[in-house]
Amino acid sequence: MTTIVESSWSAGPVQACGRQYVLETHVDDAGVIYTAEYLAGKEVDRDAVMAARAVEIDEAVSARDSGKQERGDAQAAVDVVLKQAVKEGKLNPDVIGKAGYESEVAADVAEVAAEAIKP
Amino acid sequence: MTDRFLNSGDGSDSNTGADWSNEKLTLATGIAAIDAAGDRVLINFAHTETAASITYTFPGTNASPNQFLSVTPTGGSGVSALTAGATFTANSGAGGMTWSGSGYLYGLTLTMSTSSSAALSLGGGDGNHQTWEACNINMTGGGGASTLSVGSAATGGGSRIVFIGCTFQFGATGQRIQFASDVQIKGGSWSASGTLNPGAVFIPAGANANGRGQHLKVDGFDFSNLNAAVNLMGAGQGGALAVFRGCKLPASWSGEPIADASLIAGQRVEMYNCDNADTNYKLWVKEYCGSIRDQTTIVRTGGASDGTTPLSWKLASSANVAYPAAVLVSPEIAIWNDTAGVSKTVTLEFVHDTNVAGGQGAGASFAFRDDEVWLEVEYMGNGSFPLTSRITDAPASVIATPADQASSSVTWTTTGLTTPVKQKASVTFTPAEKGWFICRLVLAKASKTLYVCPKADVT
Repeated sequence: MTTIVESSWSAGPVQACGRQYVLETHVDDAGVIYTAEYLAGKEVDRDAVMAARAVEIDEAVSARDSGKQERGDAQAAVDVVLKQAVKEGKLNPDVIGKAGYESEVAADVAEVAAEAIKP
Repeated sequence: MTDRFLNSGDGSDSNTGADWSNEKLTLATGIAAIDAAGDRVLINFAHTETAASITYTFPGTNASPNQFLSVTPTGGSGVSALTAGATFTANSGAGGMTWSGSGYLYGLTLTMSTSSSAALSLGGGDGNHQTWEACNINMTGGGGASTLSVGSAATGGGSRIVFIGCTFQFGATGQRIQFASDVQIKGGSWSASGTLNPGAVFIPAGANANGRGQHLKVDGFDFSNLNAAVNLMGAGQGGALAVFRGCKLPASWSGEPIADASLIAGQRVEMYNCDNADTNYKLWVKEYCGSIRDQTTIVRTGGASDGTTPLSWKLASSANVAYPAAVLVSPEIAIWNDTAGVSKTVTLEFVHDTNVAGGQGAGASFAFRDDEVWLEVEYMGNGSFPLTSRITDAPASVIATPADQASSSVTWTTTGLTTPVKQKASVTFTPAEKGWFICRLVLAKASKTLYVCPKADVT
């Protein structure tokens, strides 16, 4: 699971409206950098905003990675069904990717994919 | 067109629904049994309809849409006023609430209070045109993955769903407004009730949309009831364009148009004149290749201004930029040209700080070269047709030798820049007809920052 290991912020010059652009930089344990910029008045607790965003990035990246894993699982399951369908003569390998497979196979694919991505 | 009458107060689904004395009791059963395309359904504003789930597919078409009006009744079959208030609630189960068909709906309050992660789906039918005015769309249940699903994501389909002066509400932080095809929000506000700290407000339609582009346009909407940290857009499919114009943001807003982690190729979120303070020059565009923001400190003397406040645009490219395939393009700068057949030179001034890790450009003293920053202009170059010509000061081709963009001597306020380097990009051409010059500055080097004055000089 990805974790933010380093966070910092810097403020730019004061704008005409009296606020400053605050640039946050967050680095995860794989070295990936995430930035966030917002316009803050003096009343904004920039450390608190940064800490909250680090948690948010953790959650977002974990959810994204989890989604990739689910899609990977589903794809693997679909591959098995497709290969079996080809073997059984239900599916012409020449039309894979051209929306040409039988509806029975499509139903199997959908069912297996749905099963594979169940939480 | 036939008028149908609905009132839970003293209606019955065995009535004819032909007037206020013979009202139907329910929309989803009573009215659904008799309605036809083009019908107008008049709903007593005191009407309340509650079921585990509500699915209503009305027969309206684009050619003959239905109307659903929350009204104050008068006489046998009259209406004295449009009066918002008729309420429809889905309160349990996974069925949620669905309204599909083409029509105009006024003054309805939709509430989905189920705790399941059900969808409140509006206009999901292929080809639906729906306009919702003065309606409250409330998701009050705790379903963490519930979506207010708006528009059709059907293969080969499309829809246009418009909300005018509506309010919206979430019941859990994971809930989102998921938009498909074309969705427009004109005015309205976020409710002060419910969950005010969702991770994001909108997401483009997901897997069912097969990655095709979705459009969202939000004008004059008041987001100020939401928490400061909310992002406008969450993760979703690529190809989505969202434009926010003239919106009020939460106080001390620390959110973003879209978080870095949510960006994928083809996504772009544009915010024009959106703020939580009294300004009228705000600009923030964020996309896969970087961001463009207004600046009022690093500005050119005699340059762009809103009339009072000088301003520039800060272009910051992301790591995803790679010349010549993936580049960050500024918003368009349009200039009317009133003379034809005369040579014109268009120039955009920019400044950057070379005292950063790795410098900036690959030119002399870290100047940007013309394969890293360039100006492109579209103009009326054809004397017979409105076929525009495009000219840039980028290298002639990807195999041509790049050159440094010209240095500049204009005056900039460079507060905060340690080693400011002033440059300019310009093109010279002869327009064949009067018309618009459409100018854009392009930043084609990854992870770099510059400030451009959006007042193009034309000589």
